[in-house]
This record gives sequence, C-alpha cells and structure tokens, in this order.
Amino acid sequence: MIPWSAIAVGLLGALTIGSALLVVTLRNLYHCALFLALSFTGIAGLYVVLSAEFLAATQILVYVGAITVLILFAIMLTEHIVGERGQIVSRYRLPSAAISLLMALLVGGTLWSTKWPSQQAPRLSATPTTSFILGRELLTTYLIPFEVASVVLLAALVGAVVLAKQEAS
Amino acid sequence: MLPSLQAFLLISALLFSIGLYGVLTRRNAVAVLMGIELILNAANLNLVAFARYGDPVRLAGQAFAVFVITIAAAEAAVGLAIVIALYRNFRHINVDDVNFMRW
Repeated sequence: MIPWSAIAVGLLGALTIGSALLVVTLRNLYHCALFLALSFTGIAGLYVVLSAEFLAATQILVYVGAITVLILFAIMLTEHIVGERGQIVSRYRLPSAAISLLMALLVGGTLWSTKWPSQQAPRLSATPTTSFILGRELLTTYLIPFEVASVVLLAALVGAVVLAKQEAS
Repeated sequence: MLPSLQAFLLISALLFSIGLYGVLTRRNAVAVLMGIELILNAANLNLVAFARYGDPVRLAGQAFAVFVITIAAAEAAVGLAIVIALYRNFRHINVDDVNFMRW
C-alpha cells in the first residue's frame, strides 16, 4: 500500500519551506510576494491533508487572495524604492541567520525527543465533518470571541483608513 | 495513513525560523511584514496539527486558527497602512532608518 498522505505531506512541506526560503532571500519584492502566495497555498494543502477543509478554503481566500494582494498594493505604492539597487538586507545578516538556525535546531530537537501522547492520528468518523464541528463550536463555545472578532475587524478597518488617509494640509 | 505528528511540527518549526530570519534581516518594512505572515502561518499549522492528532472531537485548535487568521488580516491591514503613512512622511520604508522614537 502506497502511503499517499506521507508523500503529499512531504511534497507540500517541501513546496512551503522552499518558497518561504525564496521569500526571505530574493531581492525583487514582487517575486517575494508571489512566492509568499505559493507558500500559503502549500499550507492550504497541508490543511487539506489534516482534514481541515474549512481552514484550507479560508487560507486560500484570506491569505492567498486578500493579504497577498494587499502586500502587492503596498509594494506598488512604494514602488520607486523597490527597484533601488541599494543594500536591502541589514548588516546583521550573519547573527540573524545564526539565531534562526539555532531556533530551528532547538525546536526541532525538542519536538523530536518529546514523547507526544498521540503519535498516530485517530480515525475520523465521516459525520459530522470537521467543518460541521467547527461551525457548531464557533457559534456555541466561542460565540463571544466570534462576536468580538467582528468588532476587532471593524476597528482595524477604520484604523487603517485613518492611518493611510491623506492628511488635510 | 497520516505521517506522525512530528512531521507537521517540523515543517512548522522550519517555517517559523525562516520567517524569523526574514523579520531580522530585511530592511524594507513590507518584507518584514511578509516574515511576520510566515510566522503566523507556522503557528496556525501547529494548531491545526494538534487539533487533528490530539482533539479531533472538539477541534479547539481549528477554532483558534480561525481567530489567528482574523487577527492576521487585521494586522496586515493596519501594518500596511502604517507603511503607506511612513512612506508619505519619509519617502522611504527602511525600518533601520526610522528610529526617531529611540532615545
């Protein structure tokens, strides 16, 4: 029997990590934003493997659709500095790389040596689906955070408009 | 058959470290924001993996991930508005050179 899920996780993980690496190393910010979208798409695929269908759809809608477009807009609005051939990475490049590598090794080593209570994924029943459970939980257990989230989004919307608005001279 | 939990946690840890590297090295504010988005996605992947392996009945991890996505959207909107305001006032968005609040 071919372990399709493991192959899918390997490929999607490689896609996500590879394009994330390009996001932080490429010089052209347009290319960075496009590879960021690719990385988000890989994560949406991983959500599908983890049977989180609703989150996969949300990931595509919010991250690939909205946030990437917003970032592209910001890049275009501040365009003339993007093409500038100046120094784009800070002078703390090597210490930063060392810190990131240390972080990866530390977390990787810890999670490898930890005894997790559930190594294997429990079998899911066909009904109710995870989207059904998630919807029910959001409107019962998490009802108040759910309502507060809408207020937060409204505040962020107003705040963003006020911040980006041209000030009257 | 799904691979073990560690596979997802390892992908997430690598993604977090890459995002951290981006946040620490980039000088352009938009590129810093991209690194932050990578870090938030790493956290979300962790939450969803734990929901699948540890708690597939109540799915608290997935519910948390929904809220993280909401906050990430708000953060991106406000962050990019700050970038636009920064650009209007300074004509550049190098985070290294915007240090007038440092004493």
